[in-house]
Amino acid sequence: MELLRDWDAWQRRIGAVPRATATYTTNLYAPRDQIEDWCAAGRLHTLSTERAVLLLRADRGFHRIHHVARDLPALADALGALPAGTYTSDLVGQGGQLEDVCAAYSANGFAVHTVLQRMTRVGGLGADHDGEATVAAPGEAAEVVVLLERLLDRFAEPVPEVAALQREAHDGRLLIVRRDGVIAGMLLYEIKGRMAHLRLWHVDDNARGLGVGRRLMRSFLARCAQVQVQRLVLWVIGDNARSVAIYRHYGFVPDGLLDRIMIRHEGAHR
Amino acid sequence: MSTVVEILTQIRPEFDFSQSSDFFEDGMLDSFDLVTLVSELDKAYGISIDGLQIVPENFQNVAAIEAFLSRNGVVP
Repeated sequence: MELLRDWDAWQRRIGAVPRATATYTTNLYAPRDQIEDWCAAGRLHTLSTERAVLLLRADRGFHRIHHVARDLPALADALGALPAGTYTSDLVGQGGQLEDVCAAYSANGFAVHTVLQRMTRVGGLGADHDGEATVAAPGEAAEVVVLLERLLDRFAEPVPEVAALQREAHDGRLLIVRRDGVIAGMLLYEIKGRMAHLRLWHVDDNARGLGVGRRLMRSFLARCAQVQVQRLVLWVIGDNARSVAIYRHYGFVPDGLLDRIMIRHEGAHR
Repeated sequence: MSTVVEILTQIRPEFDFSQSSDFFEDGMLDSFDLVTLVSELDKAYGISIDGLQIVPENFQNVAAIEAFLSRNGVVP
């Protein structure tokens, strides 16, 4: 494994993968600025073979894999060269499209950890009343991270770094609701043009049923309406019927895109 | 309507792609849509798009896509 230092080095790595064919496979969807941020933080390593390159992103005690491979056998070969450790990989596509690439991972000791489904809401904004959630200050980001570390499945939903969340707060994209002085719920979103991405929306277990989530969601929808967002998207754990039902209540419907999260634990494969 | 616009509209029917000069900045396509778009262009025009070419700059508006297809020997 080699430390990846910058975007140009990454381009050289994937440029070495032979020209794509219909069998070309990747799960790298991160834009250039995101990859550059990861490089700057020293969190990216690469593992290259003749026909594939794996981008390994360090997270809390494990690595997330992004692959770029000429074909599935090349991917399987590269996965087989991974050193010991815990790894996850997000495989995104329509349901039927994922079987072959999942098999390449399964052949190398990976198993399905969970499946996320994307839900989309198109239009219908304007009638929502602002829930009057508070825009978090950068100084509140660390407290939000503590809440998320307690609530989230770290393999399925990456917990943002404090510095990253501070930037989101600075830009007004982190909403919170406090009860008795403690953060009871949070919502993190991103709006780009006419599309909004609801990245995280969580309420502490002991604050459920008290309207915290509703206030956060209404504030989010009101902000979307203000800038004439037309399409809203989110990812939810597919078998979490309660969450799926809540999102349906707010007008989101599954759009068919799945994220199958594969995991290989330390020592699970040799 | 051109085939490129037809394909785009199939992917995201809620948007008018002829009115945007940058689908990504305008929030009409995201990175997952880009993968779908590349797959649909592959099928529609019988081409194979190099992974290095799958960057937003080549797909940010109708003219960019048509120019990209032309560079790959396709008359859109």
